[in-house]
Amino acid sequence: MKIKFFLNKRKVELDVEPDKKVLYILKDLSVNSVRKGCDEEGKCGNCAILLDGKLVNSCMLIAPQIDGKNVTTVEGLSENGQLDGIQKAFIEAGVVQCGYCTPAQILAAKSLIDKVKKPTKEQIADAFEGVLCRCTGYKQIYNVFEILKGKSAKSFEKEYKKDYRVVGKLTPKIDAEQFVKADDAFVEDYVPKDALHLYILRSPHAHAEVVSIDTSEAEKMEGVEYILTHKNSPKVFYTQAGQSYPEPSPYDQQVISKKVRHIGDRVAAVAATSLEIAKAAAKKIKVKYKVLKPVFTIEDASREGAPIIHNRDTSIDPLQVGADPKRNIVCRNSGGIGDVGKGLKEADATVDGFYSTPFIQHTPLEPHTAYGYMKNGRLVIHTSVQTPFHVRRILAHILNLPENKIRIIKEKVGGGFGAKQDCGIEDIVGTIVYQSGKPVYYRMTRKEEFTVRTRPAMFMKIKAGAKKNGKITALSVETKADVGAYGPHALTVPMNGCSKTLPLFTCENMSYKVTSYYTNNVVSGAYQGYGVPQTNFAVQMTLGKLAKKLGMKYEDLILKNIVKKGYRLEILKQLGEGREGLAQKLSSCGLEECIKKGLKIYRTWRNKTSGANGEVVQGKGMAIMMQGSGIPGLDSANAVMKMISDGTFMLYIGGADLGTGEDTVAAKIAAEELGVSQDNIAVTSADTDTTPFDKGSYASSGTFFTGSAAYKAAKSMKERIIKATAKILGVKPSRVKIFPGGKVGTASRKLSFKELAMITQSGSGCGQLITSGAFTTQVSPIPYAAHFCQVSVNRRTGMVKVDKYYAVTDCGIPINPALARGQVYGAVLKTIGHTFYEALEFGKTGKCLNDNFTNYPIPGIKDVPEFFEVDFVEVKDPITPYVGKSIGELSCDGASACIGLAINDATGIWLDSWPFRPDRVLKELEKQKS
Amino acid sequence: MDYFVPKSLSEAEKLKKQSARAFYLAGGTILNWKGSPRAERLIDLKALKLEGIKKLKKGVEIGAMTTIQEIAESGDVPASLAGASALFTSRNVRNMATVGGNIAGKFFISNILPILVCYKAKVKYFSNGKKKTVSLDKWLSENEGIIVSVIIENPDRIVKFREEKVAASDFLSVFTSVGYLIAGGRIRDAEISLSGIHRRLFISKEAVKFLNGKKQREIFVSALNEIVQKEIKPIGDVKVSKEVKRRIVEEHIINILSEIKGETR
Ligand SMILES: Cc1cc2nc3c(=O)[nH]c(=O)nc-3n(C[C@H](O)[C@H](O)[C@H](O)COP(=O)(O)OP(=O)(O)OC[C@H]3O[C@@H](n4cnc5c(N)ncnc54)[C@H](O)[C@@H]3O)c2cc1C
Ligand code: FES
Ligand code: FES
Repeated sequence: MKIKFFLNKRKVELDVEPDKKVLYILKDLSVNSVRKGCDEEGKCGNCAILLDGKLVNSCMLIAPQIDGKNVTTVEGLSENGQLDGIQKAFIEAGVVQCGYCTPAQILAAKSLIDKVKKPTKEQIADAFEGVLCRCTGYKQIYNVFEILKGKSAKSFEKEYKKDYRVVGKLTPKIDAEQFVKADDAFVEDYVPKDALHLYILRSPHAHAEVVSIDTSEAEKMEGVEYILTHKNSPKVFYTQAGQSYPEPSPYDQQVISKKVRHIGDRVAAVAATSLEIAKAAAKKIKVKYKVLKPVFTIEDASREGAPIIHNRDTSIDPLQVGADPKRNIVCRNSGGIGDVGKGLKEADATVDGFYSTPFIQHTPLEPHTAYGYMKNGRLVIHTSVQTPFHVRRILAHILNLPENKIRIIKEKVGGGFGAKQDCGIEDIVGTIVYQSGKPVYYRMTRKEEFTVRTRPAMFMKIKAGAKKNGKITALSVETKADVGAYGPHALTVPMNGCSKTLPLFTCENMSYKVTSYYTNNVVSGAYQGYGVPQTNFAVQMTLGKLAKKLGMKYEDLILKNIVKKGYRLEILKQLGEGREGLAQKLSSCGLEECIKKGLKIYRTWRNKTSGANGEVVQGKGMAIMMQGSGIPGLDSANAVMKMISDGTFMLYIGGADLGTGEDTVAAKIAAEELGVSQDNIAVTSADTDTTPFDKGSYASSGTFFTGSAAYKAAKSMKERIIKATAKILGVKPSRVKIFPGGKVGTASRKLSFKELAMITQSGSGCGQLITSGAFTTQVSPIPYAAHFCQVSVNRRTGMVKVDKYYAVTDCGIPINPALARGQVYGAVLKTIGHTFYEALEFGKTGKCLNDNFTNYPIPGIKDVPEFFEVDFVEVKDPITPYVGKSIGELSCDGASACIGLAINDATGIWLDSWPFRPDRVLKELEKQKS
Repeated sequence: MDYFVPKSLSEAEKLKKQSARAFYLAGGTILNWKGSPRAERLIDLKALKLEGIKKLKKGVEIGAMTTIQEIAESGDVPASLAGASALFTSRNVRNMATVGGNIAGKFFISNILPILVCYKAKVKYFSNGKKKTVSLDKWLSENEGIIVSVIIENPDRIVKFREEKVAASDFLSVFTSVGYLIAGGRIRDAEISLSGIHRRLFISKEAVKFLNGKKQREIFVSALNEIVQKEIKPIGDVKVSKEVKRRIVEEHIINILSEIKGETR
């Protein structure tokens, strides 16, 4: 049918099928801003447009519904490259993180502000409730409207570090403009029309062998260009885990294996000229399976005679992590300090607790996406990944290629949270591109996201003992993890749970034991917090019980036992990543300050009873937490800096910004060090051809590792600038100084950086000023936080609501305060979702029952607690002048414990398993009655 | 797929009769959900002038193509209908979803239908060349023709509701609505309707008998709850079990009655 409409005031006439979705019509017209965050479920709202000024989801509209109408997208907001006021306000409020949801949020703001000039909080929440964001926690959206009223961000956002100009100050995220304008940013924005589309045929069985596979009918279909099955797939074993080599994860994966180990495992992949053809062809593939008995629980997996999921040779694994695949054990580790048995005997009170946490999905709004092609005999992949350099290494191993034949370019990542830490799709895309020689594009559906990467289910036994005076004498953690069908991160996730909880305390007798099991459940891996949210929940709940037994206030027990600056964390020596770790003396620690700051507000909260029959009761809880800032002795980051001919700088970093602002952090640190403004530093990052090695963005390393590499490159640039200037001026380098604003020289004679660049780069100069910075370390600054909350529990229905939440964080220097704050809001809100309702549910056959946003809701703006505040304590750490400790992962570690303790305060019940669904609450209340 | 924009109700009806897999298209939030419409023919109702809210001498008439957002914002519809409409999942969907589609779509949850039941709304529809008006209840069981409008003849009925959901972006778990008239100090024409409890809308038969004829202060929550609980057979889902749904219904009844008592005190 023919349709006519106005797209951003421009007349468009098209001949389209009437049932074509508007989302795809706009995509065909190269409108980037309509983002598909769910499987056309109407739930994510990231595909939103304004239709005659009203916010609607383009995935829920078909062609005739826009006929004769005005369609507005963010592409139409900026005129002549100038940003609209709303776009500017989004940048200033610091509410743009990964940017995937940003265009839809901007339209939500526009549709509201066009009607109501000064909207109320309720009206704002109402306008934004249909647009899901997994990064920001929504809180700063309200600031956008304050800015639109004429306020400046400085009036509600604090700045830090008085003596710095850029670090700790409110400056825009360097890529924010790209997102608010929906310029090309994500992989999907760069895919040419001739790319083949990939569809993966996935296993309907949880455990089976492919007896035969016949692709002949599919191959005959027009448009089908390549089919990969286990027959023509590389036979190499590897781990998808994006970890530094040698990886502490088993080499148990093949691109496509003859055996399938979970529902959704790869059986075949079809590359065709369209996704529809690829799907139709996949339907024609005839597969005969020999169905094997599946195991879905650790009990079943560890039973004598249990079906073996991986019958393989572990000698191929680079690190021996205690695997025993014949018993479905992926890995084991144990250790500790002192003598826990003795510590328990010495205790006046002891507590044994058992806790469990389910499989959870990251749900980045942009799913895994990659586009690959061959160029000049080299394999090039544009991808949405956290670890481009690891992916290059893994692919080289799979394809038996030298690494210099592969280029991985990380495009903007629409949220990662650990889901994109691995070579999760690049292995199959790379294989097909390399074997077929053709360009291939692959984008996972939301359903696929749910079945191929999750947070593992964990079961934790905690023992703790303390003296009457509250001194903890023993603490032990025993974790069993159900990591599902393959073992990426199987050791390190549960280990990290121990290495980021036990070192919170000065207790002298501590131990840990972790065992991970294969089952035929979905594959698990890294997820923001990396085992800590689960283990910290278990530890803090146990200590809560212990405090009760001792008749102490929880905060008093905690304050009595926490580590302080200068304390030597001996336990860390035991808790390496599959090898010996490094004991570390605390170079800084703001934990006590965080607790004390938080308590001041927390103690003013009064618990009330409400409801028609007094059934709604309030309670308060707090929790402490720590993370790392990268892994000392293992991780490394590099940066290269160039002064270009006008005296500005290019900074090349290997670090992979996931939307969390790593590029901005690197630019700010370099600008501070060189005395220039942030604008003077342009950042290119995470391209294996053009940027130096960086292990990638995981283990909370971005700000500290990549930032420190940038610092070293800038420091070195400063030295080069001084030396070159001294030579030009004919003075000793000790007489030359750098002056703010891009000037260098002596008191009497100064050169601008522009003049310096001209001279050094001229025929008679010393050459372009290029420096590099390599950062490795034996110590990494540990971030700490204390979180506080108040909840209302409805004793009749079991529904719980978080009324107040206050998070106080020691993140060293909040290098970019607005971004840091946004990270905390986002992480906390996400964890509130995990605590109450986010859990994958499986049927008897292992089929996931809620692999979509319809049945797996994530928090929206109306889930934000009424009081939701984030504060920082500014802590100086001597490692570098710009120590920004990590923040994103840390902030996921406390909400569950905090809420669990608050529910106990309100009702006396203990909820030891996530999610705290109402039936679980009611069950515990019933138990309590009886 | 064929697509038509009929200019009259008769033309629309004729087009529908020509194909077994033909559907009327209103806002499309159900038809276009998760993929393109699984239809052979779509008959778009947009040119039939079925939108708009009209105040009647007594009551209000809401055109079938009126969106839920328009209802939420309207000062002309009874407050409980506007209030419940504002709770509908999200503005993005409310801006397209229509009241006609809500009735005919019979989505597994609705926070509009229980309210309409409690207002004893009537449905004006077009079938076999004629416009007819029947009770909403009747239309839902017979499912006939093109819905033209919904009529609320008595907006003064007392209608109260409660909603519970797990997360703000989620579909509602339970929606409970109670409505009645007071005549001579006694309850008349009571209706209790729930969504989220069964696969389809639940309309009480027994509990309303209990309410009718009583004075407001004579209603004992426990007695009313007991009857409703006997009538319902909730279905649970992964988020909220059937036992919890029963508790939520109880909570809703308590809160609705206490709100009413609070207002009449
Ligand atoms: C993400 C999402 C969230 C939702 N949230 C809610 C919610 O919170 N509350 C709620 O109540 N519902 C909700 N729904 C369900 C749905 O949006 C509503 O029921 C809506 O009102 C349907 O109206 P529509 O105009 O979009 O219907 P359409 O999709 O256009 O049509 C639905 C059905 O009704 C028929 N039909 C439409 N109009 C007429 C007419 N005038 N006469 C006869 N037949 C007609 C169509 O042929 C079709 O069979 C939600 C749906 C989605 C996808
Ligand atoms: S893709 Fe449209 S609502 Fe999610
Ligand atoms: S910024 Fe909203 S999804 Fe990432």
